[in-house]
Amino acid sequence: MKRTEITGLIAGLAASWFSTSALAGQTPDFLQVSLDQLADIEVTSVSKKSEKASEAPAAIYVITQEDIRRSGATSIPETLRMVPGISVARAGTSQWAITARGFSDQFANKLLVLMDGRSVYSPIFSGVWWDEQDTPLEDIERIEVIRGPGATLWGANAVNGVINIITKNAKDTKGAMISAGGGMTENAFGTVRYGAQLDEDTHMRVYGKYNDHDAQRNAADTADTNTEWNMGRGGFRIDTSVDNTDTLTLQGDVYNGHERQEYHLPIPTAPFTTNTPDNQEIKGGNVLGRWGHTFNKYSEISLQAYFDYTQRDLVVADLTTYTYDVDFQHQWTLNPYNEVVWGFGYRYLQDYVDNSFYIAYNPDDFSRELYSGFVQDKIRLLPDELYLTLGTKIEHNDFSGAELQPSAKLSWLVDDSQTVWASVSRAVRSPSRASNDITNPVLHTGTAFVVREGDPSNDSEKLIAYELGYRIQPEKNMAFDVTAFFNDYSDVITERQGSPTFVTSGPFAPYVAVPFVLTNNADATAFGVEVAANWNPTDWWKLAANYSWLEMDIQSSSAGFRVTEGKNPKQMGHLRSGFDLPYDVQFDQVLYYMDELNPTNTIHIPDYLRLDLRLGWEPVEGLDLSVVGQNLLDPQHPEYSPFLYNPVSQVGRTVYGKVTWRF
Amino acid sequence: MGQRSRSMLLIVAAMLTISMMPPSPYAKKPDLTDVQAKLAIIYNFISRYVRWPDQQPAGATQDINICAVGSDELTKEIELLTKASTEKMRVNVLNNVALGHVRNCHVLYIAKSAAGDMPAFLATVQNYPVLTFSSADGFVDNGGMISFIRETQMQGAFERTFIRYEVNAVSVYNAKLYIDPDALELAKRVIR
Repeated sequence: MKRTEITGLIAGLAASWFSTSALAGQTPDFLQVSLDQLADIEVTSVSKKSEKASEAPAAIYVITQEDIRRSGATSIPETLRMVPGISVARAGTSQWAITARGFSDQFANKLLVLMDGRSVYSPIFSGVWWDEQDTPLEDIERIEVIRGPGATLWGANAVNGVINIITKNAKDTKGAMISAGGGMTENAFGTVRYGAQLDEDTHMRVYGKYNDHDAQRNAADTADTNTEWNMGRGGFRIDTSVDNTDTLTLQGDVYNGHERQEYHLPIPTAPFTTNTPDNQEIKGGNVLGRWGHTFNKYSEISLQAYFDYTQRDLVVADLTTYTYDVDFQHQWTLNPYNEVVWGFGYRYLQDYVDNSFYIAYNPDDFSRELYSGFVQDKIRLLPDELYLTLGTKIEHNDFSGAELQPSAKLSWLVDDSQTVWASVSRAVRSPSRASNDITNPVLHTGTAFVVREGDPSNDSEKLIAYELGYRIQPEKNMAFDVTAFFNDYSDVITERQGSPTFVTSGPFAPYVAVPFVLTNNADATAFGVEVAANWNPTDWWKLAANYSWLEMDIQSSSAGFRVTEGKNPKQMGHLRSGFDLPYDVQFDQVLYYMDELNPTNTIHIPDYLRLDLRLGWEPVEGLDLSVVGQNLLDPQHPEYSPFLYNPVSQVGRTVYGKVTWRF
Repeated sequence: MGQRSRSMLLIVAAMLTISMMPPSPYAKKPDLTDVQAKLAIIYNFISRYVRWPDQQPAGATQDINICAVGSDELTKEIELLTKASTEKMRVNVLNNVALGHVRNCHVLYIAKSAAGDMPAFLATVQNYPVLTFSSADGFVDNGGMISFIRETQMQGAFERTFIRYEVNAVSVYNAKLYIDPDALELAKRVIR
């Protein structure tokens, strides 16, 4: 090459380099991202006021509205099947036994369930009447499930977990919605909702809903069980904000339903049970108000009050409960090293029971108060890396007096994609009317009535829980979450067989009664692991898988009937896959596995595999059509031992179709 | 020129060439902040997806006036858009624009803090070729053209947040602005 040519070449290259970099170097990189790339780029928020779930020192799992919609579930209990560590067993047409980390029971009393901050745990029955929690699924924004003691923030009974159901703000449900469908066991269901903007800052919605469920199958699968469940429900919600500093919410529901159960009541003459169909009336209502005020970005308060009324008229008892509750909370960033949350609450409970021979409470009418206070400090040990959260709740209840529930949690944000956390907590399940005041003949052996009896001197059950967790999101499209826990329970209430007594007055007298007294006579340990993973191989295919394993040991000094480890499944798993197909078609598949249950020496519930499929199509904007098949691998299978007085019931294979129209 | 000099020249030429190459499409996409994503959306619209009636003939420099009213995280960084000026398109940013000047803007961003003035501003620019943006709730339902939406997708305990946008195509057409249908395809919601 000639010298002049070389010089020209260098000059030319240099010139073009300088000119493109002069321009390209000026436009900031982030502005050069294209619109379709932006749809896939995650943004990090400048202000981290609300903690990301993936950095929380707790075993948390969030069920989103999309998860609910694509699962094909028609009730809240069914949506909980997708959470690792939560066992959901359908015991009857309208009955579910739901628990976390063991102690599965009809009276699953170690799980706190809240609907928008309102406790739906029944104080008489010591559990949740899931058939009354019939909120339209389309109105649910998300369900936050925390396994393990959430006692500091949530209080007593949040021993094994908290399920927090959050409905949508009224501004997110504007317009009209009509949803209706029917199928084999979901005979008919429909929801109508209307939402509107009342003024610049205020939105409201009203809804009405009706469900008619068909009966589940009987044990021999020769017929349906003689059961029925239909419910009507209506409600409203109003949300408003003032000046960007205050938010106000008012919401309420009323419901009225009818159920028929088939009761096998014990009697002292052969064949020692009598089939009594029970036509039950269930009704209730609630109203809740919440006010939030933000002083500045370091301080905000919230005040909530609610009233709840439930009534169940059963042939064996009429149960009425009134609850009045007030709660206050203050979130306060004291300084860059301390984020404090503290609060207090008061609850007044009144219940009225119309006793019968089969279910009798002594006293039949009872009022009680619950006072609580809590404080929690999230201490920044290393900025953006290590946080220590210390907190405690103090409660006073009328059964066991004052209870203290402290906890310590550590979260280590290893890097942008990994978190390690550990916690130690003490939690308490305070005794209740169902463990202290009840007399309940359960069956007749041929010679004597077996009677469950409460003991008014019962103390609370205690738990010390140790948890360890790890979360990693190695790529944008995959994530893995594992939690291990060890639970040390003491003073667990189980049944202790007492000496037979001869009853000489009252119905069926004279007869021999063998009491099984509910007392704090057991200790227990539970060890387990819960795993959740998700992977999105393409942007139209999402996969999720969960697995949990539980090992329980209950030691009691008494013989006879007692809470057994066998009621809890050792292993549970599920695999979920969702396809977003062309032409607005969605196809979802879920495979669940539930391990066997051995609740008593005579009842064995085999393990089962369940396949649900959902095909959805949105032919025009606002119109959603879907067909759902549930339990497709099996004509029917039992999931749980029957509830009190109920016969065995099997969950059958079923199909339903649904139309949702938004306009 | 000797052998060694020729080799060095070739190496230097290779390095200069490589430095001019565009980044690999398989490189890990960077995380952005909320504000960066929103500014990127605005830049995409002004540089590619929207055309104004006062389009300059080819060769001349097109002025794009970006105005903002109110104050929020985005208005603090909106000046960065001037750095995206090229020979063909000169981007000017005017913060705290007065009501009387908005009709000279090509783009108007209204921050939530100016929510009280929003009806007045929207009324003033109605049917004028001003592309309006905001992060305020329901902006497109109240006549605004493009709303930014924070969308959170959760899977279990893992959360991913994206910035999406909604378009009120009716307001855009009424203002005699041309918007590329591809931009409407990528929108989360379009009001027609």
